[in-house]
Amino acid sequence: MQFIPQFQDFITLFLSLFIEALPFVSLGVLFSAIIAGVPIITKLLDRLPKDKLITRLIFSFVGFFMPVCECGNVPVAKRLLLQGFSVGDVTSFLLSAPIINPVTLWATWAAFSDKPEIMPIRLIGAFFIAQVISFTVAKSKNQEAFVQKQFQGKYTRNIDIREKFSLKSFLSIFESEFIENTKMLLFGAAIASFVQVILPRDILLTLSSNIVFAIITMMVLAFVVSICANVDAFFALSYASTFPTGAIVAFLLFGPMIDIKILSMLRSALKPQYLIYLTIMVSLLSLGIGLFVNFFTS
Amino acid sequence: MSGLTFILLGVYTLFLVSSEKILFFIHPRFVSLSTITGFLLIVIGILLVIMTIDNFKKSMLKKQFLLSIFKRHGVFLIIGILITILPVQTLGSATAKQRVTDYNNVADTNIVTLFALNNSNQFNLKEWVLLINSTPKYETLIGKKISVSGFIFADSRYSEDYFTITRFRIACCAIDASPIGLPVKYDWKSKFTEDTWVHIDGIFSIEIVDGEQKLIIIPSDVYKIDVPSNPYVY
Repeated sequence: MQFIPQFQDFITLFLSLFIEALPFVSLGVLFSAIIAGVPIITKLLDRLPKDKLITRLIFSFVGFFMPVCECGNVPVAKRLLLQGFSVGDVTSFLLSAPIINPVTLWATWAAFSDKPEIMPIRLIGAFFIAQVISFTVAKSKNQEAFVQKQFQGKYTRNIDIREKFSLKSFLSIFESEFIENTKMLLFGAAIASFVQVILPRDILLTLSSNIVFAIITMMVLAFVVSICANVDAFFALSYASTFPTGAIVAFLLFGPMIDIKILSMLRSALKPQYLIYLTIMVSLLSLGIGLFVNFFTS
Repeated sequence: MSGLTFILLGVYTLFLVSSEKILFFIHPRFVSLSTITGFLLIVIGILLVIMTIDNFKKSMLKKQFLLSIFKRHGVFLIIGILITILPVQTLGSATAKQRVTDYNNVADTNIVTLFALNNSNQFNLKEWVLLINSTPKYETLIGKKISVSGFIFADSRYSEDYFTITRFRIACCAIDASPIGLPVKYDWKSKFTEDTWVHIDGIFSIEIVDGEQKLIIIPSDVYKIDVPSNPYVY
């Protein structure tokens, strides 16, 4: 089959995003099914207080035990919602886990070995953003207002599953969550690939002379490219000579938290108002940290 | 129904791995993860098929049972089939044009230095670009032999009697690919088309292009090759 080059490259980009993300989605769904059914884990989670600072702090470091990228974290975040945790609690996990995990931190350290400050800045920055946003979300009295109606309905079914966990229920959870997340992943991958094909990169990169524009440019690039958090440092390294350190840090913070495919996958569980709020807050805080870093490194 | 899609996706992933076509899409460091995923999806798919057959046998309303499964998972099966029949090809000149600003924007923790020139006959395109990027005076490279492969990219920054021998460098998957390459002075249009994969042997020279001094390749031999199983550099 031969297509026009742009369409062929669209297919290659689409398949590459899908094939790269598939293991992480599978792993995330597997973790989710384990959380739902393995008694020791459910008991452990049940002991954590819901909607409390301590839980949000603990959730910021769960990524250390579950080093999958953001595609894998989305199914786990949805599972935590089904386990009864508030949107505020889950936000802390969702924003921290892709960055505060050993694989991402090691890769950042390896890629920026000549700028050793970037790795700790990334770690602290991610923790700060996750805590600030999850705190503001937790302040809302009506947490259920952030959750999609059809997703709320699943909670009752989940309780039934927890009472009689078996291979059959494990397979049912894996099946339904895998299908739901994969559909959203395919949708996100198609949009991200389409944008990549139609948007010439020089339009983005001509704005790098001004520090604020440079930071925004790198965040937009992260949003469009939707690259996996575990390796995004190697991608960002290519821009380290043309963009200021603050813009690189903003890319490394913003990308794992917000991009086209993550928003697409979260859409099935969380309402657009919450996703817009999340995107604006992460953008502003990443921009702020980027400017702060640039002030001290320039 | 969804069990069949799981099996299909698993088999497709393992087919890409065994045929090495998976390297058209992702970095080699992720291949083992994809292999495990392929096997996992096949195992879960088989278990789901067994579970569905079991439920089907127990069902009193067999026709309605099949209809409800198709309603729930039919789209997913169609998506699975569509994915497996999409043509598998590497990225080409359309993406290189779109990302021309990134051209040779290569940074690496392993910097290639002039001291490595003794082994330069084994350099790939990325190593040459790294070396050239870190070499202040092109004169030191004039006359050096180069033997590399890549695809033909009609780079608009050069006149028509040049092409750029190009490959993509990826960190994760094709989505983050950046083009790298070197200009070759050669009347290529009479023999090849854009995107053709070629191998060239030649030497470095300096020419003035648009009033700027450029390091270019004067080839002694240019011949067509098949798309390599590993088309990217890392």
